[in-house]
Amino acid sequence: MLGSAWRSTSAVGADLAMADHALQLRVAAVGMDERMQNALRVFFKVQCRNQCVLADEDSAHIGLFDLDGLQAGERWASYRERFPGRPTVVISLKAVETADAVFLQKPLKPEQLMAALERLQSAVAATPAPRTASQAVRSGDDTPEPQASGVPAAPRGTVKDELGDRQPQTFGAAAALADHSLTVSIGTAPDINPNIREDVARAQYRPEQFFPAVFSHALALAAREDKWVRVEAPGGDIIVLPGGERVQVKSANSISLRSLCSLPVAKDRCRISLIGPHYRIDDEPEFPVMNATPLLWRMVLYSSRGRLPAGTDLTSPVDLKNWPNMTRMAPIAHATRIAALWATHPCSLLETAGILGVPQRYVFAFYSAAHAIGSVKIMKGAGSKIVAVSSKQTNKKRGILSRILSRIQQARTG
Amino acid sequence: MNNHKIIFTGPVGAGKTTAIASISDVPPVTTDELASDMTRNRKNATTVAMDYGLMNLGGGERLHLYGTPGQERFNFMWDILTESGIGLILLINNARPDPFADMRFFLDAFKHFIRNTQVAIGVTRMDQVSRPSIRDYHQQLAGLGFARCIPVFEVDARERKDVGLLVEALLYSLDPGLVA
Repeated sequence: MLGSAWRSTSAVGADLAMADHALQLRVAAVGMDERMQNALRVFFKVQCRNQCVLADEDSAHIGLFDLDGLQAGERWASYRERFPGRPTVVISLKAVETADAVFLQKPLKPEQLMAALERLQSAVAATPAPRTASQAVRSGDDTPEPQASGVPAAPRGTVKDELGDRQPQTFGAAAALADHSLTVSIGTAPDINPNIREDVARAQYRPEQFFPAVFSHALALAAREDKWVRVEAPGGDIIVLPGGERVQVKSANSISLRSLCSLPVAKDRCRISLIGPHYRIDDEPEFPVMNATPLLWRMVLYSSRGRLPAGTDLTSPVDLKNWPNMTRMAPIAHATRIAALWATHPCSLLETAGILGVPQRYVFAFYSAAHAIGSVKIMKGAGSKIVAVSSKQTNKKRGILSRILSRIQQARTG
Repeated sequence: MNNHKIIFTGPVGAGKTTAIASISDVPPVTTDELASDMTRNRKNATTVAMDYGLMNLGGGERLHLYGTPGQERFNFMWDILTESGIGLILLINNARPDPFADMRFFLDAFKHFIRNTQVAIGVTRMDQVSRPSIRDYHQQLAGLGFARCIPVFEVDARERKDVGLLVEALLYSLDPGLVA
């Protein structure tokens, strides 16, 4: 499946270890007056020992965004539009839920700010140099999901005021994770030319650096040992039930699953451990028990963002070992067509996109998720046997089947 | 020919009537009678002839949805119902004592029809009984010698989006090149 670069033992309390990432963080202080910025400079120099430095918005690795003040909503939207996906700490007097940022409530405590910066530092370490959204578009990079530009929402149950009515999709609540109908955006990356090395590199990522690899390892451990397993991660714990098929997600703060999965995660921020046999799950309605496979599927979609695991063979056929349980997985556009093609006519990833006439990123996203749950395999060395399903190919029933399909899709989404 | 049909089959209580109702454009016609014999303990009413639903495709074209009676003594109707059908939706009630036996039975009973068309399997009542799991169904199917991978989804027969996605998988299994 995702492969394992993690070390663990079966003893209770076994830790995972990972190489440290050393990096001087450039932090942009957004919406803060001169006095606050001076206080930050002293804080970075003394308590952070110059491991952080105040920087301009364009060159910063991390944002520190003050939500208080005039027109905060508009400023936030503008910030996110210019710096989609930038790790950001949001500070405010009022508690807010944030889908794509770490929240700290004023008055700031130095140790809380340091902990937040440390958390984001690890995520930044493995990402390319900071660039704005427009720079990313010009260079042909995929842009992050539209949800990243949403405005932080007010706490549940309160009336939104100066932040406006825009509500980002939040995945911090465990109940939302169980909603398999929530779509995961996979970006807008253009199709690649397999003959251009940079293109191929851009379309790949290293799954072992992302949280789904940790989660997958925990599931395998729970299945192998048939014991309770705890995964401690930034933002909360995940309890894996014996057997590895069901989990309970417990979120301690507002960091969303998407934020956790969308950037490489530092190994020293995650820990897998076996729990004793007498453990009993907390019966908390806000933390329901759910099936692990759809959660892993969703996590991989967040991490892959329309990319393939590094080293994936683009030219050998893909065989569908079994259909994913599509009614319970986060939907991916064209997934059913792709699965049906691989079930009947195994063909390569690039051929699939060409045959079906769909953007490669959907094929890649489906492959990444299906591969993570063990539903597909690459038939190395096998040649493709198609194309038997070209849209131009004659099929006397194709017309009526297409009309039925249209009607069914109308009924399903109507 | 403007009339086409998809067959819904499966054991008693699998949700055939409910599934047809969830996607039918018209209230489905059901031929229910008070249950007799061993079916009585499962439900108060059971389909003894067939269920019928309809989807209008426009231009005078219709998709007919036929649900077979679940009791084996009505299997003489199965061949009649499948005549000229597009494909088969097999619903399996996960809460029955031996859902694998049910699946094997119906796949065997309809094997000629499936060979010429396709089948998609919906497993119902998994919210009540989670085992066997979908993975377990895959393992069972692997041993039954089907040349092609069969879609197996967890389905709530009351949910139009679940039933619709299952039918969609059936259609794409017939022709992955379809475009809506």
